[in-house]
Amino acid sequence: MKKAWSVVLVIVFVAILLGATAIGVGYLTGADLEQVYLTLESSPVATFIMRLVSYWEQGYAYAQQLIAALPGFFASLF
Amino acid sequence: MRAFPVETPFRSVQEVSTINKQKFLAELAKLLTFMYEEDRQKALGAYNEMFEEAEDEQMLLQALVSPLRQAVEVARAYNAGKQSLRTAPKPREGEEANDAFMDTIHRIRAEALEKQPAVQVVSEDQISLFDAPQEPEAPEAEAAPVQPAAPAEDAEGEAPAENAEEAAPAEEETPDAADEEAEEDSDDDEVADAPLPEIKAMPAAQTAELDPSQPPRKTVRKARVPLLILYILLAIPLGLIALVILLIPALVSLAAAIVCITVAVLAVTSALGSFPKIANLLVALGAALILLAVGLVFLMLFVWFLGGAIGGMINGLITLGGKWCYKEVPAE
Repeated sequence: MKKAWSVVLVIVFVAILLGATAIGVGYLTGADLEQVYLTLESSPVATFIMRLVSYWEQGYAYAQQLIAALPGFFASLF
Repeated sequence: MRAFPVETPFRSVQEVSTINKQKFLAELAKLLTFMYEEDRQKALGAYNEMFEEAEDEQMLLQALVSPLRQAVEVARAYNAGKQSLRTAPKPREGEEANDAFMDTIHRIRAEALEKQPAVQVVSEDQISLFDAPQEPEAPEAEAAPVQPAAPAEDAEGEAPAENAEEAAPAEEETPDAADEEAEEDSDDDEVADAPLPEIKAMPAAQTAELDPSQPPRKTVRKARVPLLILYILLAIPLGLIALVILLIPALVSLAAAIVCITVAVLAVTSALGSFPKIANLLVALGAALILLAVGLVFLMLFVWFLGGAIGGMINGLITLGGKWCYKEVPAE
């Protein structure tokens, strides 16, 4: 397990380093961040994230209802 | 028996037994440091003769079992209770000699040699397939007999080539080699002089277990039934609660990993076809790479929760139950 962690951490470190380098190089060579944001917003990424957010809101509402109903359920048992 | 030398990666049976013999004597020499130097040399000489007389050294090694057992036998006969135990051999200074241990060694020798086969079963040429290839032994090593005083110094260097160097005459050595060997010898002396807690701290009960005349004690595990039932009744609900508590972060980690990796992959696929400018593409790819790395960390966390934490918790509960609810009793 320790060896697996060390391998994964090395991969993660390298990936973060490469990603940061890519962002830095792109920014320095004149990337338009607003255009990047607008492009990703209209892509399937944004749709996926919005769907996840709606699922999260629905799940949160169900969990609140469940927690509110639990005391009554236990009270009905006794 | 061979008419011509054959280069082979395997070692002959004789080579194997020579190495084991040297290891045995070296180990025994370390264990007998509680004796006076003269007595230790005498004992080691007797064991060395025993090996030279043996027709099959492997059989002899099996009969002797281990250097520790032989050291215990000799220690008993040496009347260790009256002699002051020490960690390094010292010369006798005007004290009365005690040769009772030699009788014990002669008895061991007689018993061990009785077990030797009348005819050698394995010929010297037969190769052994179970040993790793080793460098060929120096010719002096075969010619030079194992000296009784040498084993203590040989404890570190187990390879035959090193033993051959130590056994070779001093006048053949170059000054540099002599210096190096002197350093090695001083290191080995330190190792040989190091305290041996096994010998000093071994209680009588443990030495009695090593006694070959007594049969080994057999024990069986017996359950303490009321305690076991109580443990099961407590451990199952507590274990389930702990399992749920550990499952929540595990599942959250899995969900986070899936989200991160999916968003990263989608970002890469959409970025590749959408950005005409290479700088914008680099920024999108960099962000996706960082997201992938974070997803990988979450995935590893999930694996750790599942395999390490939950598995360890269940394993710990089982081990604790075995420790608390079972006892070892002598077999009837």
